Amino acid sequence: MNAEHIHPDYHDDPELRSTVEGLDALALSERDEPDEGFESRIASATRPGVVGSVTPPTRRHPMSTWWAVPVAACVLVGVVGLWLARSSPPAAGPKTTSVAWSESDVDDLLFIDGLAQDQALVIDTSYTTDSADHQTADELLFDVLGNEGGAS
Amino acid sequence: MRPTAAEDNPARPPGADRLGALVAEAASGDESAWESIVSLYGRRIYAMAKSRLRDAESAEEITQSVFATLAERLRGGDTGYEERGQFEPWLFRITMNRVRDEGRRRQRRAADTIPFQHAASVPAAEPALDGEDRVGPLREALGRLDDRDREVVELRHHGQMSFNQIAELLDEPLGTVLARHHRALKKIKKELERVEASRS
Repeated sequence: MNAEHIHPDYHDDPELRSTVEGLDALALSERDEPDEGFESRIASATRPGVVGSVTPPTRRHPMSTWWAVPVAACVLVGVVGLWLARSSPPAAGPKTTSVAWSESDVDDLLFIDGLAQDQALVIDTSYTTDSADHQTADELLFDVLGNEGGAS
Repeated sequence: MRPTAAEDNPARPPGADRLGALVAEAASGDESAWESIVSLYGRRIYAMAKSRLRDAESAEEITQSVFATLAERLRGGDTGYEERGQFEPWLFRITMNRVRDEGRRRQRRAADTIPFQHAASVPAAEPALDGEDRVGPLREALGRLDDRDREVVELRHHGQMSFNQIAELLDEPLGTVLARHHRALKKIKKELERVEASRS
């Protein structure tokens, strides 16, 4: 099909002239819509000379990450629950609770104990869930490892 | 009679050589050149995005996204832009892809926002053109076009691209683009007449 025969020169199509003018006017109104600072905003935010790579702004709709908080909460609850589940129920009387360690934990504790003895520290491997006077096992571990220059 | 080169390009941007030089200067960090490019194309890109998305904030975000991508490509590397005299089609292809992506995202979120394909049918408080309230029906008529016809119209009128550039961008023969534009205008005219008849 010969393209020259199927298309009009719209400038010469009086029936469509008003439509063309209307579309041009509509388009002009939309090009004029942004305020005077539009170009400077865009240019400033995107110029190639900006140090580091320029990445297109990522517009994240709040709904796209709605699941993040509940998932994080579930994970946190799960971790805490697992941690608490390793302890036996608190007995009546003393508030201290002994922890049922697994075999692998014993090796870790012995290692930590060794470190502590080197540092002339006393580690209390019992912990309480109620009393504020005792450090948790994690806090003790961090204290010891911190004295050694931090965990690797 | 085919449109002449002068008639075919209503925006008359800088010639290809000057544009290529401008792009090269911007790529080398010339802020003035970059600002010139933004001035030349920023509002045209905005208008295309606004026509589709009916949302000024989104239109500006799309515009910024397009120029951010352009800046990144101009900064070079193997994936950078190579000047081949096709800057405008390339730039507007990026624009169209961004607008389409946003439109598809809105369709997926149809429950939370106005459906993309029906955006034009939602009445909006728009300033009248030439003292007559023609904007609403015109937008609606434009919104009723199929995507391919609508793209040609928006590239032509909002983007101020020549038919040759549109054909290059869409990778279609010039005659096809012209025919599609003509068909789209007739559909819009018919729709406007229908609306006018329903009002009387």
